[in-house]
Amino acid sequence: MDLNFTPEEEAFRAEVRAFARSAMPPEIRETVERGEHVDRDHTMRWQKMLHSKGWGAPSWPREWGGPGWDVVQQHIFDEEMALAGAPRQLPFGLRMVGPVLMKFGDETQKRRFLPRIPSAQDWWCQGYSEPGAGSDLASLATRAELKGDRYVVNGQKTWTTLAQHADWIFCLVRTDPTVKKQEGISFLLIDMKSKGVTVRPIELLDGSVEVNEVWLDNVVVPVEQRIGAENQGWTIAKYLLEHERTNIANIGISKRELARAKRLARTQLRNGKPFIEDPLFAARLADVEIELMALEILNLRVLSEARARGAPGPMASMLKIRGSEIIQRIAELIAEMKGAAGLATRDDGRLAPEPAMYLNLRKTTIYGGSNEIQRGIIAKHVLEL
Amino acid sequence: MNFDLTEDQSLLLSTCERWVRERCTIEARRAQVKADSGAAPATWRELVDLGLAAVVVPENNGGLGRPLIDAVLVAQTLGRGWLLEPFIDSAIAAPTIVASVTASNARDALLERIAGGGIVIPLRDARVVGGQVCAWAPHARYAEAVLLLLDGALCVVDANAISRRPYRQIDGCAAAELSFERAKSAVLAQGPEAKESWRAGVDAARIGRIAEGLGLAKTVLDLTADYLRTRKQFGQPIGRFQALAHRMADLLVLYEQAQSLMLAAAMKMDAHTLDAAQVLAHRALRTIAQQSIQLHGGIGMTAEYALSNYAKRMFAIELELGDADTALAQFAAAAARS
Repeated sequence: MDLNFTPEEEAFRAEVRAFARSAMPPEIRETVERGEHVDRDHTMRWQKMLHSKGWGAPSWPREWGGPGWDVVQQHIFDEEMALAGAPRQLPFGLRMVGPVLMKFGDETQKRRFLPRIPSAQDWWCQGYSEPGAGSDLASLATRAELKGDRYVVNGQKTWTTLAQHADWIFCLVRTDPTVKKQEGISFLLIDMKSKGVTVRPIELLDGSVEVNEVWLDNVVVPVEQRIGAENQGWTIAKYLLEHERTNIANIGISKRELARAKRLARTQLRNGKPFIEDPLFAARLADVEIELMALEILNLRVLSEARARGAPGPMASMLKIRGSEIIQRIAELIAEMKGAAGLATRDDGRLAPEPAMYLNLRKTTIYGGSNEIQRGIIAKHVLEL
Repeated sequence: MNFDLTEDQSLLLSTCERWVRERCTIEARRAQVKADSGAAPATWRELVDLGLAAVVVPENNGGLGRPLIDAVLVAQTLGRGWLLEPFIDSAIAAPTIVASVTASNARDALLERIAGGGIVIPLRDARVVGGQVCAWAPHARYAEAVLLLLDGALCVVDANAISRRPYRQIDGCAAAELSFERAKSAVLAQGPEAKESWRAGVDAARIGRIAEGLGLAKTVLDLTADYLRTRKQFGQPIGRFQALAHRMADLLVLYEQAQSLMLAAAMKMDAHTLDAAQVLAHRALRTIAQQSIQLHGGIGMTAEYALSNYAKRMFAIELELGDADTALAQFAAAAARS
């Protein structure tokens, strides 16, 4: 048992840190550190910079242009990038459709789609949820009918993150309505420029437009854009969920935001004194810091297990639950410290970043399998209830 | 970075696991409390024969010279079976204190005595009234010697100088109120050395108790999960009901978090991580004991069911540890400076 990273891992950390500090354009870092949304151009620009460094796809094997890092190196990379104020790399191509293509795609599909992901040539989005299929994803109703060598797709996807910028969407669609619901699903890649694809933005409570409705109206999809066999979609979806749930704890982001909260606690005043000098506030801040320390170690335990024995397994659900709760609590403290003055909206109607972040991060306990779904996973697969 | 046990640790812990499995059935533990001989429990001798009294005692004093983390893992394993023996005080805290002082004949003799199973208990709450010292402590009833700080000096007092009023704690632990003449104490160390060795012992006892508590919390979680899988109401196991399943999942997350900080604190042994570990340990022990009783329903309230003893020991461990508020305040004060 050993808490220390190896000298090689420490050297790797130093290398990542040095690159992040020197390469990061200040205007991008400042946007992140103010807690504001990073726009499309900044996201693309940073992804391209990482790609030219050879770090565009941190979790990918060398074969497909990744650096071939193990899970511990990936963790160090994510943490250092977050601490340096780097924008989050989009997970939809890198952590979702990418691993699916590597595992289930044929050679032509791999060569066609994979190289365009780390280089930010293709922006992907995820077509999973539907108005009638949220937590109960397998009940999805979007229909795909095979006519000759092409599918005709009809239906509606929703909560599709950043679909407004996307070039491609990967979709779960129903290809056989006559069998058990999990057995009639297929996995299709759809060009967002196809005729019949309509994107409608959904404004969220913080005023942001991150998610969309995606309407599919007689959209024609060549059969070569189906991944895996027909009706194998649910197996693929489950595989993808496992990949989505590594790095779910977001330790680096929470550490960065906690440091911001501590800085604010020294300068923002309540009753004429800095927040940090108020014992009740200091106790709440300390409590969330303790939770984060515990999560960091729990994350390392899961990584240590994953490195030795493969997938992180259902323990990842614990990381998702606590990681999401912790970042919410930090955002809440920050918004509180900004006080009523932070409530002022700007002339263009936008919210100040602190209350916006507090409101926006309510999503973290809902997305990626709600925390209630995660508790169900723990109850079933860990506790075997 | 890895959390795998070393070969030495695996070997040590499998010995402990076997002992707990064979000797710490609920019936055996209750019989031991009931027997109440006033002498050190016979099971302490069994632990001594397994070498457990000597785990952290330096090798040249007849010990195994293992790092503290090994003793902490032992405490956790023994804790799983409702620990009634003075392992934390006499095999972790006392040798940590004594080994930290400058070598002397008295130091070496005491360490050898501890390694051989002599029960030595550090006294945390000693009061001096005139020339008389009064204190109480778990396991003090059969201590062969006690350690304490008197006006900044680290002192040892032999059993034959001590008068005792024995009592039993709610968790079954044999304790005693002690009094002795101050003049009977012998000084082991003075000044900063005394203070630092005492601090090391207090911290070692702290992490040991946290580990013991989490060991027992795991037993209670297993017991409760098992109950949820077997108890049927409305035609199905009650663990299928989401209200209960989700609460059980929350208890497991809380346990794993507390366990994570316990391991980190045992490896780092800095005050800040210890405070953090203590805060979460209190929360885990309190919540797991209370909610396990709740999830069992009426049976969880009965004295006959094993949970009753475990829940009482969990509460006792918390109070022996100290309190969550102080640990949180200490953590917050240090965090505000960082």
